[in-house]
Amino acid sequence: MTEAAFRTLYSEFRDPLFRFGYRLTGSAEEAEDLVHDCFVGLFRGGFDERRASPKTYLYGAMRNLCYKHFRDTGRETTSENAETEVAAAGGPLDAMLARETAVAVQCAVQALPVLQRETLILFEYEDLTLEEISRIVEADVGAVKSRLYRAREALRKSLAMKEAAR
Amino acid sequence: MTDRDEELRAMLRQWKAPAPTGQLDERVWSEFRGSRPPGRRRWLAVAAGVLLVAGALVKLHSGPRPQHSSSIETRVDAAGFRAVPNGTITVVEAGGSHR
Repeated sequence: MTEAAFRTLYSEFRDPLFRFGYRLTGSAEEAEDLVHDCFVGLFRGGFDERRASPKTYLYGAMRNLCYKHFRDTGRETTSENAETEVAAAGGPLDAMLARETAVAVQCAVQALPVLQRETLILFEYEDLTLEEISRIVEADVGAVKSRLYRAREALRKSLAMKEAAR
Repeated sequence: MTDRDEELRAMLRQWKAPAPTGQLDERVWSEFRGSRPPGRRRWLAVAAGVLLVAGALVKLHSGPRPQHSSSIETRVDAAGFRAVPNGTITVVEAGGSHR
């Protein structure tokens, strides 16, 4: 792979892969390590453009690295320190409410089973299509739809309960 | 079923992901550059190859020419040639008697 081709892919996919890894693992530090490993795998010849698009390959590789990380560490999230970035808010009260919502969302997403979590993240946060997700997670579109449906239902319940508890 | 649920989506997007640090870029690029021969080393290898080929060619064309032995002389002109006149064949047998 030429430096120019690598540079193009790196600048296009660095942030999306990092966000995906961050939301899947719950840790920015771990996500950075995994993005690093993902791109190292790319330039060491792991990518065959006859078999997959760069997008599918990179998200699939990132997913595999996250799963390997889960196996190695024996846990599927790092939710103990819910360090969240929140949307810019108007005043101190808005900021506090936004932070509370962000923490609630982070906890609810990370409480999902990993298959539902990855599907939800790719669909709701990364705007991938169901077909793209099915290629990345190596499942048929029906299974992806089902996982997304169950993830949303679980989140609606969990976030409504948190809202009611306020 | 997979229609956008805008209310849920708006709530989900309250959770923002941070940006990766500059350290990530440094790590990835240093690994990328380390994985291939540096430019200077590659040029040195090419230059060494060119010099070797050039040296071999020069040696091939300027090597010592083969020396002729001075004891052998080849003449191609017919100067001084004298034909042998037709004569009678004489057979001398052992013991000295002629036939």
